[in-house]
Amino acid sequence: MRLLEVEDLTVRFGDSTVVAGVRLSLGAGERLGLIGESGSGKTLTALAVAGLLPPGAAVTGSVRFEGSELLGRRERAIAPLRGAGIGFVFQEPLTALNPLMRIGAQIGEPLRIHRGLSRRAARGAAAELAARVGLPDPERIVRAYPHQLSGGQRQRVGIAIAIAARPALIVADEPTTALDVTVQAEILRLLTALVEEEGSALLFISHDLAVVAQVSRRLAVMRAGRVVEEGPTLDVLRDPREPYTRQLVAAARATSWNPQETPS
Amino acid sequence: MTGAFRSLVRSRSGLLGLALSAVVVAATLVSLVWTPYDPGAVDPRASWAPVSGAHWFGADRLGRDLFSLVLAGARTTLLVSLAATVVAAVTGTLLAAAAAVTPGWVRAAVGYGIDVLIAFPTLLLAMVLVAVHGASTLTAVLAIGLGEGFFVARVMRAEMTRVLAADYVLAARAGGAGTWRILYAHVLPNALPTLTVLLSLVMAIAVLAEAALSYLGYGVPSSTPTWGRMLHDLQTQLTIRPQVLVWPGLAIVATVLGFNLLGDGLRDAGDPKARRT
Amino acid sequence: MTADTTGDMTADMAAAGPDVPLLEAVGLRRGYPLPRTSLTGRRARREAVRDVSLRVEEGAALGIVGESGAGKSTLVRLLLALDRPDAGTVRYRGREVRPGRPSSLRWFRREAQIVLQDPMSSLDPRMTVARAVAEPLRALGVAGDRAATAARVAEVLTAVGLEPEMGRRYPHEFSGGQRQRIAIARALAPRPRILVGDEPVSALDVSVRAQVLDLLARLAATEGLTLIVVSHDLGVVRHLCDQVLILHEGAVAEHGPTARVLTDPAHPYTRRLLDAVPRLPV
Repeated sequence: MRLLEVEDLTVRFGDSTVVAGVRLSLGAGERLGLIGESGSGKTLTALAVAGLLPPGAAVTGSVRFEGSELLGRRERAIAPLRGAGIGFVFQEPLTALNPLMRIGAQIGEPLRIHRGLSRRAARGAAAELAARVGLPDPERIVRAYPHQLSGGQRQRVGIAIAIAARPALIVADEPTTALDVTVQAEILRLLTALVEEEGSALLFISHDLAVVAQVSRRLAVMRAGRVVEEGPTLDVLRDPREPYTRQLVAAARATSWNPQETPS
Repeated sequence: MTGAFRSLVRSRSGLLGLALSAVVVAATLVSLVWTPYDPGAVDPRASWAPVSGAHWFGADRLGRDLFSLVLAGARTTLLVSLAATVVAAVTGTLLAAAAAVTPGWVRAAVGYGIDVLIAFPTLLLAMVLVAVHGASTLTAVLAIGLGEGFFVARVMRAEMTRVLAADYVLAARAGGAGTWRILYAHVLPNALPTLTVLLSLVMAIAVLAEAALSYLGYGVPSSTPTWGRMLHDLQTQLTIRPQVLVWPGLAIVATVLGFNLLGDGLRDAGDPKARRT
Repeated sequence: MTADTTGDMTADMAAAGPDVPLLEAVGLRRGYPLPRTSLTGRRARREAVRDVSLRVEEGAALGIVGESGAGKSTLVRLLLALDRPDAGTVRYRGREVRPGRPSSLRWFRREAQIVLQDPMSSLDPRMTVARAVAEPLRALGVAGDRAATAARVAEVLTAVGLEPEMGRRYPHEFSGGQRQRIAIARALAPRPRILVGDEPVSALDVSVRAQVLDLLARLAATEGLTLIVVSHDLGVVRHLCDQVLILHEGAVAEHGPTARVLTDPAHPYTRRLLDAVPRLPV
């Protein structure tokens, strides 16, 4: 049994089909990169996996997590899975955090929900988690509010929340797109290290091939709601089969930068 | 603008707003040439006459025909609310533009000035104007128009500041556009949706404010029929024969609702994104 | 008026010298007051740009690289006289560019134009494309009559790879890449000598990004434009620019030929930045 099995996932909004028959599978501890341009349906696929689709979305197909079907389940039945089974890291760390809640309370929330920890115990655990994601002065930072943190620190908080209840799968939706390159490098290192330590699986969504290549061993390329190519990351990058993937890789090579290459 | 008109008519609420506003305007125009009775004519035999073929809306204590009064009242109400809205639009937009584009301390001074003027009650303004000029239609228009104008200025200042911070304004500046060009080509068109909705609201408030001022004796002279005065005169009947209050009340509700829906409809119709080509 | 005459004098004096760069900035500084934290205390200031000097030769392409908060956008606004520096001067062909009334800057606006990052917000949603592209022509009094304006609008729209008929439509009817082409057309319309791009491709999809970069490179070559490209992306700068300036915390960390700076960085921050760039496995 695979950890996550997505079959024939289709998401519609009214007349428009934004995800059309997506098939993905992810074993325990595996890391899959999902790449696509804006409008390719990659984010909606990620949201569907976590049962976080916005109202108005019509979903068909199958999403099985640890063998049990998630689609068609009631909100009440899915909620316990979020955080405990599947942790989600959002793109925009500022808007994903509640501006009126202290950092510690937000990191501790999944623990209080899923592990039934007391307020005090959750606060202690939050400080430990803050230290684990490399936040400076954890004891002080758990008492801070989101606006008092930098963008990179906020994303570390986002990661701490996602891993708090030790989920088997972490879904990260463009987690570094809003960040600077140097900060992005730190966050990617942190994310891969944590996934390694915890033995969780990772579904990493991005528009940036170079970023995905750093964190994932397998790559799925999405276009217009479909997965057009899937395979080991290096194979896809070196020898793309689909014309669209070839175009994407060529574009990425043209504007990315490698120290080995001689600058034009 | 034909595209805008088409999309206004296509939206159900926009069409309703247009229809209601058209009925009010039509009633006003009709009242200029024809009313079933002279709205001021007293007829003791018809005192509290019920709704009938002779008196469509019935008659009041003095036997004045209520339908004629409502028709004639539309004239004043529409005149006062339209004129007051124009005054509010002009003062509000000018003040807001001054507060948004002038540099440094002028900007701060105008901004604080607007805040102070907002705190000045319309009623007090009306009393001051009445003390100087006496109660007249013009007094009502100025009192309501200026009072609402400061409110418009406050909202429009924020709206214009928002538009001025947009990238396309920066791009226009880099393209060599001066302050006036930026104001009329970018800021006004993009602040217009807010202004449209605001003015439909102001117009609705003006109808009610005119009624209130007339009720207090600070508005139009007592010989002129208005919906506000009718409500005032008939209010004693609220528990005895409430049906007579329905007519001026219904007229006010229809007008206010019409203007509001029309305002919303115009806002959407003016948006190129909402218009499908 | 005085600004103009002194400007002309400087230009006359400078034109005599052989070593006058196209655009030059000396000792630029700009700080902004931070929001008040207490009613009585002094307002703190954040120095966005502290003492930046640079030269751009005619026909060159300069990349300005830095992370958020490095002062890139502020620097660009200062270079284009869209903001007033606390200290320092900007000169175009030796003539001082003084921020002030739009009318006194018209000569400089004809020479230098900008393309902003997000084409969703840099085009007025209520203006047709043709009107938007014509705006600098009208504002700067470049094109002359209606027919000449329309002809120039059609010409630049074609130059950026769009159909002239598209001018009748509104910005929301276009894709991100097309919108950025429109913004480029608008900047090109008054035939500037310098084109400044403030993160010109950051908001675009990867495949579109390459096309827009190619367009910029081609236009720079065919129109003989001098480019200044601000970006957080070293790949973009490597693609377009022969000179690079690394901005760190409002100051110049490193300034030199792109090939040299990217292969043999001298400043520790440049090295840190280069190490952080995600790489595609070869």
